[in-house]
Amino acid sequence: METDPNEEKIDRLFAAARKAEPYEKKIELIEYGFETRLMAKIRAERERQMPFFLWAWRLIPAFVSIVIFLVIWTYESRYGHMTDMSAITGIGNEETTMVAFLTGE
Amino acid sequence: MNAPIEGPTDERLIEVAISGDDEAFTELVRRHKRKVFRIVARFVRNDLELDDICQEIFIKVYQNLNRYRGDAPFDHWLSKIAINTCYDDLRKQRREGRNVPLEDVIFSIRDPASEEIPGNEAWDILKHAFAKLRPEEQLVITLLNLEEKSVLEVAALTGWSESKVKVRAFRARKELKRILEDNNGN
Repeated sequence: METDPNEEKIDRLFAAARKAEPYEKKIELIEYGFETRLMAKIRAERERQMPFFLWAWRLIPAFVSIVIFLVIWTYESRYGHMTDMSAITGIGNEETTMVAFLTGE
Repeated sequence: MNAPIEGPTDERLIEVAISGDDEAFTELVRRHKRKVFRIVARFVRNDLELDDICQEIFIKVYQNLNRYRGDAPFDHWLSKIAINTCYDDLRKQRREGRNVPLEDVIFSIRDPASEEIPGNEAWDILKHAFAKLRPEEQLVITLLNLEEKSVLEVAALTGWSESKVKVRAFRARKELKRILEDNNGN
């Protein structure tokens, strides 16, 4: 059976190219210190992702201070508000308050 | 043939690397980098790309180390990642139009049958002709005809079915023949 001559030529081209070692010299150069460069890149990548977590931990005292401040402020304002209201309702309205209390309004 | 590996096995190094020991991962890289370089060298256009892609492959390995199940040898898993990364890069090159124009290279396949084509010259001709092929054709023809993998091996490495590998290989070869003939006719 007759084979296509171009097919044979392509096969010869592949056979020759298999013997070539592309970038063999460059591989030797790239190989030198490859692990060091790679690990530096991995560490840099890891550190780039770290600040979010670090900042979250570092901000905890600030968040706690804000929460304490809000609790005190809420407590104080509520307590102050109640005192003011009882003072307002108390002055000159004792009778009205008593009637309202007794009638359940 | 691989040289016998001294010291802990790959699986042991993986376990230690997952627990956060960078030195264990460095040892894995040291053991397998040559294999990765040789795979990638068949697909890249220059040595800068070679370094970049090899680094990208090992970063992917590092990030996915806990997904390695150990049901196949580590170097097989690594080869799959390497080939998939090269395939992604070929597709990216195609999208960005980074292919080397064939017109820049003068070559002929009308050599007499007895004439030996020098290896590097043959490689240059193929490299420039491959730039005209689709990424999947480039990948399949490189693995089958240059790396001399079997259809079954290519299917395992790429995740394609055997019939898909065969169809793509047939189309790739046909297209390569057309490209070389066209260039010859010019």
